[in-house]
Amino acid sequence: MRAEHEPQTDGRVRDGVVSCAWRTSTVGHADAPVTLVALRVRNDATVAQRVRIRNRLDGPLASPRRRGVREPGWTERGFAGDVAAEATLALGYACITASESRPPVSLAALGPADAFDDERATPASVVRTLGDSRPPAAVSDASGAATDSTDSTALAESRIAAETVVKPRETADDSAGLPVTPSGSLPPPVGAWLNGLEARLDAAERLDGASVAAATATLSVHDGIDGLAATLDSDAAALRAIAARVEELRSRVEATDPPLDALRRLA
Amino acid sequence: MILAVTGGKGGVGKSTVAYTLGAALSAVVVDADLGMADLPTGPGPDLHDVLAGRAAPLEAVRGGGPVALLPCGRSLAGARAADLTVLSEAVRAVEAEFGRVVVDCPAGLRADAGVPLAVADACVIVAAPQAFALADALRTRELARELDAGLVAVALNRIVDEAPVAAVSRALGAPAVSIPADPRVGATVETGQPVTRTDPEGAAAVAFSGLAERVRACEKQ
Repeated sequence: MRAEHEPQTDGRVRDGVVSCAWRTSTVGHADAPVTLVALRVRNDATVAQRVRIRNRLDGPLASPRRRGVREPGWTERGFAGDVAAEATLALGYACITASESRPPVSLAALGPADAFDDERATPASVVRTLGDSRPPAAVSDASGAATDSTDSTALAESRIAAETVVKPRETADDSAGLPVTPSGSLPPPVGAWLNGLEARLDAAERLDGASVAAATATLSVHDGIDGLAATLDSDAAALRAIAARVEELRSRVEATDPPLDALRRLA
Repeated sequence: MILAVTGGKGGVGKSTVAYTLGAALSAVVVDADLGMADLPTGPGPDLHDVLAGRAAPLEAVRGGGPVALLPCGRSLAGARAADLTVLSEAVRAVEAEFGRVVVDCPAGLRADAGVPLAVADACVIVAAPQAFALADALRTRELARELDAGLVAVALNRIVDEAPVAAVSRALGAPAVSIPADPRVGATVETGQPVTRTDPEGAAAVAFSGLAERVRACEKQ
């Protein structure tokens, strides 16, 4: 027997062939209560039924979410969906309010499920089902360990994406636009170019002793045998040219000694 | 009409096909490869800005070149901040204004590949002619089917010798179109010049025109 002052915390509502057993529990502090509502919706009919459940508690409804998007069928007012023939569907939600001593939901049986034409996939449902495609926050780590690609070309390309943080430019001459970087690290465009080159080198190294299948896979991404050979030749020439220029500039940087003290005094 | 150009695998030439097909169809090409954009861009708002709520979709469309383009940003931060659920309405807004949109989709089968397929009326799958590449094309075909994007044709790219057109067509349930290997096609994204404009009688341009004709035929239905 329940004492008079204790609120009712479970019960059942019915509409035709469909019934819903409910149970509530209250969590949180007295000044910030949350009511958890557990439902078991039973369909006694021999065909699937479309049901609608509306929240009757006086507070905002927090429905289950996946990747930030409400689970299918849920809205801010409740749930609509199908219960299979002679089966039970378990649902639950939270409501930011204290529990009340009456059924937290209203139930409506809307008829056989196949009479309802559901909408096309929405962007929200696509995001929910297919999974987050955004680059992980940690991918800018130079080791690339956080990326989950199994293809090392794609891995190198995502390292390029991670290190390329330049604004888009229409002109190819960006000598004036290279950002100043903290000492010891490579400017992003340079790092990106070197990563691309390294990816091609990885591919060429993979061809050494690879199986036919692996070699074909590698070559298809790199424009075939002649494509890869040509690119490697031009990579070698570019590296030689860059090495020469870098050595020249390095000697000049280390030899440069502008009269900074005098200039500061004049400024 | 919204056409998605997709292809499960990276490196098959999807962006080049999207750009050239966009030229042949006089469509606006949207670079929806949020994490690895490669269609030409320049200063001004781009798709990262649109998907972060910083710009309206029409503000990001660039005319003036051979192909009208809604380019994407290049930064990692931009890719992370992009709200994919906004992409559908953005693409629809461009379609409402310009009539035809070609969406260059990212590789893979995750949400960034799925949302363009969900909003598209139809799609073209770009595939390499090698047997191992067809597994990816098949998976992409399944995703397109789930998301109600009818497959217009499979574009078999960079064809040198005979392409397995009949086998691909049977496997994927749609006509397969061979696009011959041509260095000018490969350079399209760099030069910004579609081969349909620079050499309209050449074999590659003829293949693209044929593909465009198939897309236009689907529009009328």
